[in-house]
Amino acid sequence: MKLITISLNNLLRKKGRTFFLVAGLAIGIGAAVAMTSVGDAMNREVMHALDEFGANILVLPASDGLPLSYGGLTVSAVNTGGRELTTHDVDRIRTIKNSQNISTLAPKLLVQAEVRGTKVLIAGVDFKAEQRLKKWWRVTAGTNPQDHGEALIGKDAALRLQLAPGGRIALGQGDLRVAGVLGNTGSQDDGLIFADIQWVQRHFHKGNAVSLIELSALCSGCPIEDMVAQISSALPGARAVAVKETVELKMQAMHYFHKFSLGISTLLLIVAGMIIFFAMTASVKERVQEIGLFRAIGFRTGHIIQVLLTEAFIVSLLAGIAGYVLGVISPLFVAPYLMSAYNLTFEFDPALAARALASSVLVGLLASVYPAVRAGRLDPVEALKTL
Amino acid sequence: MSFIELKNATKIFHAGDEEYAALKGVSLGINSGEFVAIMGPSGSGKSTLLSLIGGLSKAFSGVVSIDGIDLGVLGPNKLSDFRREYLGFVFQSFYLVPYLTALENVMLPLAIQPGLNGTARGMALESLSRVGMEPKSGRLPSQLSGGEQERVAIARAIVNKPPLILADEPTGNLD
Repeated sequence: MKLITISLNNLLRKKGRTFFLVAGLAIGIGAAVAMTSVGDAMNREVMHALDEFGANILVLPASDGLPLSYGGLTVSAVNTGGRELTTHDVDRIRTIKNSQNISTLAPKLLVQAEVRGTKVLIAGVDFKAEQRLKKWWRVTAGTNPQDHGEALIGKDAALRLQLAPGGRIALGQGDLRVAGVLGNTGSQDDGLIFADIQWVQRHFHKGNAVSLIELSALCSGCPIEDMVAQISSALPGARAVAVKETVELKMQAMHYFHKFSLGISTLLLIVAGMIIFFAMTASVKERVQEIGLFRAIGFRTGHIIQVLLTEAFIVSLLAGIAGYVLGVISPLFVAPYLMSAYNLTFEFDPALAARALASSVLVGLLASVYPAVRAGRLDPVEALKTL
Repeated sequence: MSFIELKNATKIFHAGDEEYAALKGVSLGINSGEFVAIMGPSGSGKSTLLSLIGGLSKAFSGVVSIDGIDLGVLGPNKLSDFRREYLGFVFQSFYLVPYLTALENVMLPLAIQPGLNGTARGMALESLSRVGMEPKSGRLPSQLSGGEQERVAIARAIVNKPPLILADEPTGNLD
């Protein structure tokens, strides 16, 4: 007979108590696992959304020319005679090693023009890519351009130039029909006229020139610096820069989510630990005579502690397994109802399973140490109360 | 020197502000192989004497030695070791572990004996056989009568063939 037999038999005899002990800890572990699973899923979803929300890499011509600002970002060599990028460079970017991390490539050709006596900046864009990049764009009057010869006007530009949907603008060697007016963006886009990039290239005799390329990279699985290096290597005559503010904002958001779910999970584990502590303390009180008997027949303090901690280990292990399963399954049912706005996907994470099991065992054992040590030190005469 | 030797052993209990001496200046010697019955009215200190000899009671004055071992200088774990090697105890209330079968209860002292090499079960069955309880070795204490529980408690006390057996009212439930 081994000491583990004593532990197992005690748990098996008191099935109801064992069940509630396992259930109590399993619920705590399950809730922590669910929090982490949902947190991770939301993180992935939000990161994916953020990754597609605005550019986080800019590709600019390498130039010593005077900078012109675009949306608060430095843009070199705009119309100053420096080497410009071309549409071939856009294709070259698609050949880098981490091309699968590229969400959106939005080339722009920026030219100055005069409309109705006022100098304006014309941005030649790929409208599909641009609208994918700038999810905050709202067309508040008119429609999105349907044709190469149509333009979108920023709100301030529309007011200043007295342009409305249906109006016409003479630009370069042609004219554009105003398809729509953008709502207020609070950025330089409000003062720009956006037209199809090929139209601008043709009517301003720019060949296949591009002023800059905005890039949205999915940086969750790949350091942004790697992609910047790959792009720089693919385009020797260009300068690729990470938009630090955007990257840092995303990393901050990810960090906050992670901290939040960690905090809640820790709290839940503490509560679960307290349940185990009180249950073990009550169990020791209940088994005082039994422990006194063990001491009387020669069990050392360490033997008593071993019996009790073995019980705690078995309960914690079962709770860890049950809790992990509960924590992984419950979000599948709950998330569609409570978080229907998110398109959450859940993945099996062996590291999370290992952490759940380890946390459960650690919490169970730590919570049982004090009651076990107290039990081991019981005076056998006091415990037995007949001698 | 006697196997069991008490010299001027005194055990005082405290109840609030009061104190009373359960044993006062007791001296005795019991040799190996002797069979000794201690009789007296209730409250006379019989169980206290057993607890001193069995190394269960601390905080006494005088000398209690078993086989030359002074119990007064041993720490809690050394006293446990002493009890494991030297003692078999039959308690007045049996103290069978309720979730262990009769066989497992008898095997309990052997769970912490090193070097048995799988012979514990055989030893326990032999011990149960000596008290006529082998047929009921698989039963839980709750499934045994008072007398049967007493016999299991005796089997447990003798399973590891201790040099000293202490029994507190062992025949109270026997036929």
